[in-house]
Amino acid sequence: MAASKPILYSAWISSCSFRVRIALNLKGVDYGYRAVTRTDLDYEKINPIKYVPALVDGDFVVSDSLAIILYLEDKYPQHPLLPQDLKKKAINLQIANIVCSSIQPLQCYAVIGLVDGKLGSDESLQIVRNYTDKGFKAIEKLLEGCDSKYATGDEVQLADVFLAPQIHAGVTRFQIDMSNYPLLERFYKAYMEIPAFQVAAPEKQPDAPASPY
Amino acid sequence: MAEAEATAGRLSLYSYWRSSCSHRARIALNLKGVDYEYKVVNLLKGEQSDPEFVKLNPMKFVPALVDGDSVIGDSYAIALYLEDKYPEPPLLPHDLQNKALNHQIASIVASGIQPLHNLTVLRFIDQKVGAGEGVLWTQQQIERGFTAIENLIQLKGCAGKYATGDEVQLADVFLAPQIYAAIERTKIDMSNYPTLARLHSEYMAHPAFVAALPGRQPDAPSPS
Repeated sequence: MAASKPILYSAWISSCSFRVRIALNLKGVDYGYRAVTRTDLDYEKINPIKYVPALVDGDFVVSDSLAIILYLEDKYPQHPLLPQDLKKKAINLQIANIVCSSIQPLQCYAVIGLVDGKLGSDESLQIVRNYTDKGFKAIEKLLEGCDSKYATGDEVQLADVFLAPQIHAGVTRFQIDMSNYPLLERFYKAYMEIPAFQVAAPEKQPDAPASPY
Repeated sequence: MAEAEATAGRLSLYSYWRSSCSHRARIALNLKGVDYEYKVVNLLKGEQSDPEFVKLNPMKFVPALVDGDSVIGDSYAIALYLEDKYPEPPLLPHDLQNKALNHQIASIVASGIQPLHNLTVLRFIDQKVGAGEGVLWTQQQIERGFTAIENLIQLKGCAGKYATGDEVQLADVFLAPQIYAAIERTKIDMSNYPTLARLHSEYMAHPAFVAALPGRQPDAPSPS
């Protein structure tokens, strides 16, 4: 069977999708983009879990951004996102998990709560800021004294792939004051100069509205 | 609270008996046959905020693994560190698709279920919605996540004796503590999740999993 390019089911604003878009771009993997909305009933046939992103590679479907990215890491070894050194690898995974387990799910809960009318707008914003602040402060502590270009070295790695979308969401949607997190602020400026990150940004996606924020 | 340097070469695990994230790390260490020193962090007494512990893990979460000068404060990172450092028995298959499936199941637990009902979130729910509302909230999060995992496993037809085959793998390391807590603490009706219920019986018969159970830990309260 002729190799076909992988398909990414994604939503423009989803920071989890943004992570995978960055990883695909860094590895130079050409992919098809399929936009998914929250009310998309057809998507359930692709991914019964209903979350974005999902990657369809031939007849294989994988969902969850960390699982997808680790799959890409194995399948496309170019531009490795995880260092060989076990200590550095662990810090990359720890930072990725702070983002994907301790910040983003709570942000998601706050946003959906607001959309569904269960939370007021002040409350929703407070939740986002509370968990963002806790996570960002912890990461600043973990990386204290860091003088490399990116989080764990002078090459973009897994931690950066997870940090960029989280910071981007914080800055564009939740008025997070990044001057409180000088290392992350510095990294973010560096990320947004990289084409792989720029092209992956929410506002550049095919399903982004004309006035995104 | 934090003691002097661990015995040379011996890992230390900062853990709380009831923490499902700590439970994951304990299972992984046991499966790999790694001896470790158990360091108690009593979450109910707020020991996670002790300055010495915060230095180890600024997120103030358990577990934290200390191996020489490496400190790893996240159960997923700990599991993959152990996987690299102690390759036998492997927790991740070579097959890329099965490997991805293990990561997907682990991630549903680690990002989609547990963080939405951990201690800090429950305190917030109790405060915001009302005392005791945390229980209902926890049930909802677990049921949503278990439905997703049960559907995924059935769709993929991947289960053998364990979640993704006949060997214990990463998915099992993450599933076992979540299922245990769901049954023991949240009293979830597992009849909707037949695969997960069966997996629970398998885990409860596996020595590495049994030794990692909350009630077996040094800081578990004596049975009344």
